[in-house]
Amino acid sequence: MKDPYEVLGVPHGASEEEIKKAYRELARKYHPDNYTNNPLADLAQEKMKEINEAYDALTKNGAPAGNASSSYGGNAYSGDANYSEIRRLIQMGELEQAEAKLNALPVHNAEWYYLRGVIAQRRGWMDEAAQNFRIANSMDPNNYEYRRAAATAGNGGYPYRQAQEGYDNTDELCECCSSLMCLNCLCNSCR
Amino acid sequence: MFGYVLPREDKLSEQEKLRYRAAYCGLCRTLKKHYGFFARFLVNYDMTFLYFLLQNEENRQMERCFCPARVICKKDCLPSDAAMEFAADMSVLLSCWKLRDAQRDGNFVHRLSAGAALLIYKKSWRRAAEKHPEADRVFEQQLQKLQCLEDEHCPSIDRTADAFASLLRVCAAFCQDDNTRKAAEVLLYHVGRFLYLADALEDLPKDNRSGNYNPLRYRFQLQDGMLTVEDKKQLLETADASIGMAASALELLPKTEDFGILKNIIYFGLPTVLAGIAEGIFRKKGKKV
Repeated sequence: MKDPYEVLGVPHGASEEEIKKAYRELARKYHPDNYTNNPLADLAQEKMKEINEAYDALTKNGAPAGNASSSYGGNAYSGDANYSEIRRLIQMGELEQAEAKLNALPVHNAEWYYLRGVIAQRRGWMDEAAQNFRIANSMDPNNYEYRRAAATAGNGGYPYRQAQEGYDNTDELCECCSSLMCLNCLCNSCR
Repeated sequence: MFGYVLPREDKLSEQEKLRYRAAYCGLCRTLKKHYGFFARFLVNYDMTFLYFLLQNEENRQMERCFCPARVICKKDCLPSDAAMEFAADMSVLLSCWKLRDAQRDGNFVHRLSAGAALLIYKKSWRRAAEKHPEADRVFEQQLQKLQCLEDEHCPSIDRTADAFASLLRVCAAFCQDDNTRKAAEVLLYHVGRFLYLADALEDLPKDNRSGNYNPLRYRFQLQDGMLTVEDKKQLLETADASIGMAASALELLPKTEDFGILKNIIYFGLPTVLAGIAEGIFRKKGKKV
């Protein structure tokens, strides 16, 4: 097993607070919701497992409540046998087969469009994915799965813009410094 | 190449700036070393990114090397390791295939200059293709596929972009570890997709004038060649989705020495370039990295 401190990216002998903070950040980054319909979902899941194990090893209590360990691939099944078979094929990465099966179905309901979107997204065809998710969502606006897919299609499901904000803190510091510098100049000119 | 894969300089640390430039210079030197003087002109920022993506060695120290553009002073270079050489080989292959493309469907002047350039790079191309026959084959195949889709005026930007994105994905073959390669493939695919969409958006006014093919005209059924506000929003959204996918893949790659530079390029560089193109200000202010 890897060094748990290294996995969490904290120095040896870090305090429990620091460990908890690092864990929360990583858990947010690799959360299954960020990797919905992503071809790398299995890698993210492995990573999440590694992080959970490292956290468990460093704390006696185990992972804090609300951690994301088991909801990967947890889809809301409609119960239709055809669709669950197609979902299974998508899960296994058999996109061609899943698409052929889907195209052979006579009824095009919301789930049909949703699954077409999922296949497109797994291929990286984000435009077709977004179009299909939008149709699914408009046909069945109350379905959480479709609504979420339609809403997040614009960032590929990965909220990279939220992660940007973490960086921007340094900028605020800089701005603070530079405004102080400006202020200083002004003060000097008064003398 | 396109020159879209750039970092945002104001968010790079001083050390990262130095290392980024040193990689660019190192790539230029490696091109000269393996392919002769003229290959220096093939150096580009896109392949500098590829180098940072693929390199996996620690503690690479900078060296001082001669730069023909600044004869008097020497410049810092990162060493020619395996990743650098691979990036140089790919620069040659991609540039030559791009020239071949220009030779086929540019205007008269383009065709003539591309033909002349191909004569100069003929030997380099052969050598690079001998080193990476698989990549050369895939490049040819994907560009042919792209040509076919363009000829039949394909209305799906996903399918046309797929042809180009799959081409770039081949560069992940350098990675030894299976998981790393898988993540690098997704990352390169979406960077390639982003490049194709950004290029289509930037070229739209030019293609309208010349009547050349542009995928956006068929995707959004443009009559006068102008994107409506809603069209533009959808296009930017789908390009943004590729940045998101690239970011999701980046986070699964090993945290190498220069990970900060890669992160800067994906999280800040690409969105900035896209916004610049959308507002029509990209490359208009003498933007320099």
